[in-house]
Amino acid sequence: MSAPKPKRTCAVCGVKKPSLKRPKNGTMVCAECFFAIFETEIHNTIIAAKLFKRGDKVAVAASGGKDSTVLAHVLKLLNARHDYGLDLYLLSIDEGITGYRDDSLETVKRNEKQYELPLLIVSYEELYGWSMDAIVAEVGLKNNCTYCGVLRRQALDRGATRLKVDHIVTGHNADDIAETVLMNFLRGDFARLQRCTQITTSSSSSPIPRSKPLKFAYEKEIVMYAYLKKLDYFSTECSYSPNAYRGNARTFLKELEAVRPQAILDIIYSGETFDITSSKSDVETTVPQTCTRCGYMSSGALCKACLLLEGLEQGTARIKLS
Amino acid sequence: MSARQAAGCSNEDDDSDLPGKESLEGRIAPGVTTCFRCKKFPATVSARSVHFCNECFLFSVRVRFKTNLNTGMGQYSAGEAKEKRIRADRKQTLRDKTARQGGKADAGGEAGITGSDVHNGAPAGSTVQTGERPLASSSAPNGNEQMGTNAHASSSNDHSPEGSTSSQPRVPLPNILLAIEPSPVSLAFLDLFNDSFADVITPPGDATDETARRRGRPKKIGRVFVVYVDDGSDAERDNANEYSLEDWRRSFVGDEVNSLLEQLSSRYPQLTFLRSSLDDALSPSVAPTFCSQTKAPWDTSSHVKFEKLGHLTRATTSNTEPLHQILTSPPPSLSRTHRTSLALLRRHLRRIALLSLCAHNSASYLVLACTASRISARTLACLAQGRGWSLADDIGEPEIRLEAWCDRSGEAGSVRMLRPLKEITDHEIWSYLKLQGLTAADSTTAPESSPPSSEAGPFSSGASLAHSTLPALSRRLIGTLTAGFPSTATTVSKTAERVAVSEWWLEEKEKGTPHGSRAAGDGCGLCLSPFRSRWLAWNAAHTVDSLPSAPSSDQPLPPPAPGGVQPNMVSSVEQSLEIEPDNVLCHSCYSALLDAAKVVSIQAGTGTVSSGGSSSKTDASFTLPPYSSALILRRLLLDSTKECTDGVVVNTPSEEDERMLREGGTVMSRDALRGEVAEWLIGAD
Repeated sequence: MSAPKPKRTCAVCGVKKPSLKRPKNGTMVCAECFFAIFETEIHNTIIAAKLFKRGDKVAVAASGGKDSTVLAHVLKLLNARHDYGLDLYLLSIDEGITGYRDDSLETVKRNEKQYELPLLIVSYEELYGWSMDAIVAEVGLKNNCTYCGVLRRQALDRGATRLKVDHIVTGHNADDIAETVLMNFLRGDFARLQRCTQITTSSSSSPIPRSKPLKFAYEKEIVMYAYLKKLDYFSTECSYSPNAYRGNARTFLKELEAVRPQAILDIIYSGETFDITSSKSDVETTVPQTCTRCGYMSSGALCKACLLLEGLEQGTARIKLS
Repeated sequence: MSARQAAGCSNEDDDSDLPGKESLEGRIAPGVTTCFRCKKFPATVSARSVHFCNECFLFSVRVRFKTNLNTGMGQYSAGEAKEKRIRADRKQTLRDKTARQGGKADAGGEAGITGSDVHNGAPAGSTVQTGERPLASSSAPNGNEQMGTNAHASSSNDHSPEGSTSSQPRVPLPNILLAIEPSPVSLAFLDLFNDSFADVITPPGDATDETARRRGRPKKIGRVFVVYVDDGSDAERDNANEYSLEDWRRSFVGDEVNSLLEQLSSRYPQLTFLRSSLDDALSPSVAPTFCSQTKAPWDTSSHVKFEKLGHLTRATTSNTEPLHQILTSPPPSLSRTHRTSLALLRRHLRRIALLSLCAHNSASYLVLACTASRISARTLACLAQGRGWSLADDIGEPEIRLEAWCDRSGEAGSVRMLRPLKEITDHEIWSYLKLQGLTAADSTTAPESSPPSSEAGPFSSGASLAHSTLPALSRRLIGTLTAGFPSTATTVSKTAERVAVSEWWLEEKEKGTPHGSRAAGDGCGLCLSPFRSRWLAWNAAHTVDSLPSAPSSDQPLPPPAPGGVQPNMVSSVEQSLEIEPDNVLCHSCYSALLDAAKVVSIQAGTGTVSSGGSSSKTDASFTLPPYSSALILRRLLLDSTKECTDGVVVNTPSEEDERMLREGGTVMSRDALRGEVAEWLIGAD
C-alpha cells in the first residue's frame, strides 16, 4: 500500500490549500498570499523607482479595462496602507469608438463611485473635432493606431493639465512593455528602443511625467487579481486592434510565455540593459515650442496631433500614409 | 509539417528551415522582367524584393561577404567598406556596359571578384571563379586598397604591408578559424570563403609565403582551419520519432558528418579540417586558455559546484559527468524550458571549444556562419533569455583576449569573432546554393519546407515538441514576418548591432583602441559575456516569493561581503563557502544551470521536481566546467585582494539595492493583512 501523497499547501504561507498557480513563476499559492505578493511587487516597483513624493496629485489613466481598474484599485490600497500621501484622480479618454469605448466608459463611471475618486472624461470629439470612427472611415484600418496613439497622448496631457496633476500613471503591464521591446526591434525603431522600458517618461511635448507602476506585473496575474477580487472592468479588445503590427509581437510573446514564463521579465530586463551606441552628438536637442495651431507644447511649429489632423481635414491622409 | 520539422531538431542553431525551391523563382513581382542591377538580363532571383539575374545576384552575395570579412579583419572601416562596395558596383556596371558595347572588359573588381566574368558569357548557374587577386589589391588605380596596418591592434599577427621589402621585419600572417555546422549555410559559407580568398591562403605545409611572394602574389592570410564542433544536438534529433530519409539534413547526421568533412576537405585542399566536441570544453586542459595561473594563481584543486536550489559552493572534487550526460544524451522527454536551457548551454560550450582551438592554432579570427536570419532569430531568443547585456557577444563581433596566448607569446593575443554573412539572409543563401549547384552529399532533391504558419503555436497539432524552444519560435516568427515584410531579418540584425555595444567597448574606444578587446575573465564565468551584476536583487524585488511570517523573525538580509563570498555561511558537509551567483554568473546562465540541475535530477531519478517550481527534492549537483570554475575562483580571489589592498570595497550593493532587499520583502503581518482584506476573501479558508 503506497503512502498517501502529502497534501499540497501554499508555497508562501505553507498553511492553506493553494488555489492558483502564479503565471510568473508557477508557484502554487492561496488567494490571500497571491494578493499580498501582487500588491507587494507593485509597492516594490513604486519605491524602487521613486515614482511619487508626498503630496503629489496623481491621475490614473482609466479606460475601464482590467489594467487601469486594477491599477486604480491597488494604488488606492497602497496609498492607504503605506501612507504615500497622494491625491488620486481618474482620467478617462473617449476616443469615440462605437461598441467599445462607450461601453468601457460606463465601467469607469462605476469605478468613480466604487473607489470614490474624482473622474474627468476628455473626448476626441471635444478636443479635435474627430472621433476614431470618423478617422478610421477616412484613413482605413492600416494606420489608425498611429492616429489614436498620438491623439490619446495629447488628450491625456490636456486632461491632466485641467486636473492640475503632477503625475499620470498608466496601466501598462509587463506584457505590454515586453511587446513594445519586441516590436521596436522588429521595426528597427532604434529611437524608441532607448526609452521603451523606462518606467517614467516625459518629453518637451509631454511635460507631465507618466509612469507605469504595473511595469513588472504580468497581464495574466492582473486578470487573476481582478477576477479574484471581483473588480468591475470591461474586457474587450479595441475594435480596430486586430490589424496592428503589434499583434505579431503579441502572438510571439504568448508563445514565449507558454514555453518559459520568465521570458516576459527577461525581455524587460534585456531592454533595460541595452547600452546604446549613439554618441552625444547624435542626440537631437530640440527646443520646446508652441504649436501654432492649437497652442500645445510641441517640438516643432505644429504638434503631431495637428499635423495628423491637417492631413485628415485636407483629405490627404489616405494618400500620404498608403 | 515538413520532414525536417518532424525530425525534431532542437539545435538552436539549426538553420535547416530554409525556404523551399519555389521561393527561388516565385517571388518575382509581376511586371518585373530585367535585373535590377545590370538592366540587361532577365530577373530570375528575388532577394528582399530586389530582383536580379543569376550573375548579378552571385556578385552581390560575394561582394557583401568579402566586404564584411575584410572590414572585420581591419582592412578598412565600415564607412570605407560601404564606399568600396558602391565603387565596386559602379565599376562593374561600367564594365558590363563596355562589354555590351563590345569593349574590352578589365580584369578584376575592387572587391576581388572578377567582375568581367559576371557577364562574360558565363552560363547561368555556373560557378564564377575569382580572378587572381590578392585580398586587397595595391594595383588599383586609386591606391585606396593599399593594405595598411592591421587595425586589429591587440593581435600580434599584423599583416605585412603590401609590397613590403624583404628588409622589413616579417610578422606572422593571421590564422583564421572557420566554424561550420552540418547545414546548408555552412556549405555556402565555405564556398564563399574559398571563392573570395583562395589565392591568399597559406596552404597547409607551407610555413612561409616565400613561394607566393616570388610569384608576385603575396599571401595575406596564414592557415585557415575549418572546425566542426559536435555539440550533442544530434542526440535530440535522433530521439525524434518522425524522421525521413528524404530529410535534407539526413546526410549530415552521426557518422556521416565524417564523410561530409572528408568531401569538403577534398574540395577545399587549402583548408585544414578539424573536429571537436563538447568534451574539449569540459576538459581541464582548456582552463589555462582563459585563466592563466601566472596572472593570479588560484587553488587548482578547488572547483565550483552547482548545488540544489541554485547554490554555488566550492568543492574539492570535480564532477562534470552529470552535466556532460544531459548535454550529450538528454532524457527523451523534457519540458520546453529545459530544452531551451540545454541548447543555450551547448552554445556556450561550443564557443568555448572554438576559442580554445583558436588559441591552440594561433588563430586571430574566429569566423562564424551566421546569416542575418539567424542573427535576428537569435536576437529575439537572447532578449527572451535576459541576455540583453550580452548581445554584443551573441550576435556582434567581439574581441576576446585569451590569456594562454598572452603567456606563450608574451604579447596580448586575442580572438576576434566575425560574422561575414550578417547581411545575407537564409533565402539568399538558398538561392546561392541552388545557383552554385551545391547540395547535400547524397541528396539531389530540394529540402522540404513549408512556410511557417503564424497560426501554429506550440500547441497546434502540426507542431512538434522540439519546435517549441525559444530559438525555434524566434526563427518561426522571423520567417512569418519575412513573408509580409521582406527586410525583417536584416532590420532586426542591424538594430541589434546598434544596441549591442557594451560599456566596456565604449571605454576601450575612448582609450584609443579601435576595436576594444576584453579579457575572457571579465565577464560571466560560463559564457564569458559581459553582464550586469546584482541581478538577484532585481529579481527579488519583482518576483516576491515569500512573506515574513512574524515581525520577530524579520531580519534584514546581510549585505553580501565584497567579492561575493560570505565567510560565515557554511553550507555543505565539505565546509565550503557559498558564492553569490549574481557576481560571477549572468542571469541567463544561472537560469540555464538551474534548469540543468533539474534535468540532472530527472536523469538520475533521484528525486522529483515539484511543479511549485521553487523547491526541489532532488539532490542533483554537478561541478561547473573546469574553465568556469577557474574563472569564478580567480575572480573571487582578485576581488578580495583588491578590497584588501586598495581599501576600496567592491561589488557591494548600492543603497537602492539594499533598500529593495529590506523594504521589498516588508509587508503587513498575516493577521493585519487578513483584517484588511477580509471583505475580499472568497469563501472560507
